[in-house]
Amino acid sequence: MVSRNGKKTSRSPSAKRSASRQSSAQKKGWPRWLVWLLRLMLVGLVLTLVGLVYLDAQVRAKFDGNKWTLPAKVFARPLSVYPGLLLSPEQLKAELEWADYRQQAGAVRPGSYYRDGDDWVVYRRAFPFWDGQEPARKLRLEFAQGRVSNIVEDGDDQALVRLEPQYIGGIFPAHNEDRELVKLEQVPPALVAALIVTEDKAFFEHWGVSLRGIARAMLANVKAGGFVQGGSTLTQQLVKNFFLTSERTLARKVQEALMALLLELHYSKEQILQAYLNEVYLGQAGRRAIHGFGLASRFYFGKQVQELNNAEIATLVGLVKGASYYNPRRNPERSKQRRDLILGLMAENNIISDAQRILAQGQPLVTADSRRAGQREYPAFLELAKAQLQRDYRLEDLQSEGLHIFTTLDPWAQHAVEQAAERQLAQLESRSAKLKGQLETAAVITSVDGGEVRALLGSRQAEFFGFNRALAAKRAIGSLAKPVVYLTALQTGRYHWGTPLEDKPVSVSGPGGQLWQPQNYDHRSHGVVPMVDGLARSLNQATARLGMKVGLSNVAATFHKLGLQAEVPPYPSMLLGAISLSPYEVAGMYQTIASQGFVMPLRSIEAVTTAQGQTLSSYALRGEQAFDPAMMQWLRYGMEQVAERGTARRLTKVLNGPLAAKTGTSDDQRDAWFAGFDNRYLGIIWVGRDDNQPMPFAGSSAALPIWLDTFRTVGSEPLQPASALRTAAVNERGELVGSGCRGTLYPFISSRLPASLPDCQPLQPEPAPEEKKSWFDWLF
Amino acid sequence: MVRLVVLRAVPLPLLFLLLLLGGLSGCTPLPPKPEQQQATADDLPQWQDGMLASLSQGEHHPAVASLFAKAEQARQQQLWRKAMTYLDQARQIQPRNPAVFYRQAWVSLQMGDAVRAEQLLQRALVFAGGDRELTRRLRLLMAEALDAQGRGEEARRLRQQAAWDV
Repeated sequence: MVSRNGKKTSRSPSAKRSASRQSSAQKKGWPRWLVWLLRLMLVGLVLTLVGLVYLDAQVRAKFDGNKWTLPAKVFARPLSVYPGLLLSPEQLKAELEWADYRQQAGAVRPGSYYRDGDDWVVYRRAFPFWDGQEPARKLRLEFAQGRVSNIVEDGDDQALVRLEPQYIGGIFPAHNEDRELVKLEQVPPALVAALIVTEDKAFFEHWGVSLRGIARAMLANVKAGGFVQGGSTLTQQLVKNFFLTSERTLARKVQEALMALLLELHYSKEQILQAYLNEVYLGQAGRRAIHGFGLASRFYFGKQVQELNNAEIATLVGLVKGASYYNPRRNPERSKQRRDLILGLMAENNIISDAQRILAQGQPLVTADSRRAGQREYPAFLELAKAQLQRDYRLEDLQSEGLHIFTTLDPWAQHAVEQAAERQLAQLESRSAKLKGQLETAAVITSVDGGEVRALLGSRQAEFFGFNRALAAKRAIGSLAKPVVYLTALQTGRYHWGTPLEDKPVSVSGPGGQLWQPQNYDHRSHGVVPMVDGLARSLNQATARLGMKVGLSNVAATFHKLGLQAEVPPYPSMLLGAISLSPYEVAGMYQTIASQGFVMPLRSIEAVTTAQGQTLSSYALRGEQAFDPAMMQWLRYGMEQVAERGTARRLTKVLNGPLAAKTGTSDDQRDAWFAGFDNRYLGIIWVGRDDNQPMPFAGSSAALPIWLDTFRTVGSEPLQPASALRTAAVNERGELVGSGCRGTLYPFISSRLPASLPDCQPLQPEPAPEEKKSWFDWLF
Repeated sequence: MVRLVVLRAVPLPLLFLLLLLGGLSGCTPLPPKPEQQQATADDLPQWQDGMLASLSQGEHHPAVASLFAKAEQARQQQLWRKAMTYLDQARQIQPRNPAVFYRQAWVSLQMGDAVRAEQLLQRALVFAGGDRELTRRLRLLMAEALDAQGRGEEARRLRQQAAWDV
């Protein structure tokens, strides 16, 4: 110690004692346990701070980033309307209703329409098409003779307009959450106000947690002797749904309160409200969880959120308390009571007038048809679209980026084939009690020229996700193989439609010694017939002989040239369709015939855009020319005869020909097939049993009616004349003869006809046909 | 009653004529059916400085013309994919119109997709019917598509064929 005068001093023993007393007194003032407590508290405080920082980071990271994984939204093709378009009132009405349009006098708001005599007035909504955003447009569509004659907007004629496409489903992540994001300004103020007065009256006053609310809830719970009311604010509810599990512990409640405070600290009430409006769970549709008021409006009422009326607003707000308990479809009474209660609250709080309350409470609880767009999905088509999308996109992106997928699906064609399948299968099953509920079906409808898939049916229960027969059921194609055999023959240059074929018993022995002895459908042989009859009447024996002559490997090569990728078994039975293919594969092959020789991948995707409307991909037509179009027209003549006078002659009794068709029935009638096309669409139909048991029907009686019924609904256009063909006379031996000679007229490829035809000559004995040897012995 | 009297006063043939005229005047002229239009070489755009002058040249069905006009706008901004999208919408309205395929093929070439250009022109040739001038123009563009794929000899033969067609 240094004294003031600078001298060093030392402490006396008594001073030391006194200091020691003082120190122990200090120690007595801060007991050890208190020090430890302080230390613990300090550590606790640090930990709490760290925790808070962590929570804060969590809150901000999630709230600032992409808040939700948004499933890709899949749309049907938009209906393009232009002067000259053939469009029935039934189709227009259906398309509008499927896109959730309401019939409304004067069509005063987007999403409504009305009929004015033959004319229609449609107030189309704004829509982000893949080639740009289009504003809402009020259009007058004028009709004459079943066609659109004029489109008028604000007194000006329009050349082309598109109705917005129907939503047909989503590509969901594993949790199946679906939502349609809405901005706060899109939501009717009455909805926001109703939500606040019902769920959290002090929302604009508290800091995320409401002590008053908790106290009120506790009081209510004590009074009721159990849990009847929660004290959570909207912010807490959002935090709970957004960041936490549904676990109910004190620690989690504290965490929830802290996060709610942090959320309120960083974000405005408006931002929190907007997130809440999109996050809240409001129902379930099969595998889809309906989140947010945007999707809920479409799901329950078939409307956009802007279009909701007071009664609908109250119904939706009522769902927040319990989406299943107050489900207006399943529990309409309960839902109505809750709705009316909320309408009362709305009136009490001057959100609506008393008169509005009375009117709204008087309204019955009306929900949209559950088959409508907000809910309806096309599982079979979606599966195809998803598979095709995955060639260019990662599944995770499809499930989370909110992409918009524009597809080729034509809802009218899809509707037509679904209805046709339902009607015709019921009719077939009515013939035998044993068949009840046993028949299944699949169908593929494409556009003839572009190969766009317009409809796809994977089951007679079109709306169920399950086995997709159109893509996955591989069944023997029966006589649908015949056009391939005849095409192979025509291509050799040695055959034409007037070439005589022998329809006589055939017996071919295979390498294992087994015999192949095909029979005709009527179990008779028909002797010598012109080649066209072999196809038109679907004669097995004539076709088998022809196929053996042209060679199995050549027929197999034609299958592949038509675009078939599957392996073709190298056995003679393949000639009559002992080859198992899916309806989709068959469609791919017939597409080449229908499109005059272009092999093209069937296409279900038109374009993909981001949620903001930026185009990521658009897919224009592709397709390689595999056959001379003249050859395809020549083959088509044979298929036209099937529809004109052969096994599908029923078609041209109802529809205007020419139409091209082929019926198919596999062994023991296990599969009934029909393939046919008109000027616009190709349709492949399969009917059979999942257990592969025989049916008492052939292709012409089971699958043809579905095709016919479908094409009657979508409208059939006859095929255009084959420009590359010219007719010439053929004698009984199949030789071309000059004009004035006795013979039958058959079409030929004009360019292949000789310039001058021989004069009439007496018939000569038939020369031995030149046969192509194969590794089979075959017996006559 | 009054109306009946008036009608009776008009001689029957005159009444028939009046009704016929009335009926005709009430008829709206029907717009062209998109599926029945046959393109000619006049519907293809002209060439100018080694490029198509404008995608919107020629006489077309109004819906197709409106899409060609949009495609032309996109072309001016070199938004090839967008131009293709409009042209493909036109194709869906008139799936066999060589004038649409011609434009699509040219845009494909600008996009560096000569294979697709060739395929589209193959289709166009199928639907060109017997129109020699149209066929000649299609072949000339096809020759470019072949050149772009390094198939010079085939391109030369096509140009020769096109020259004979003049």
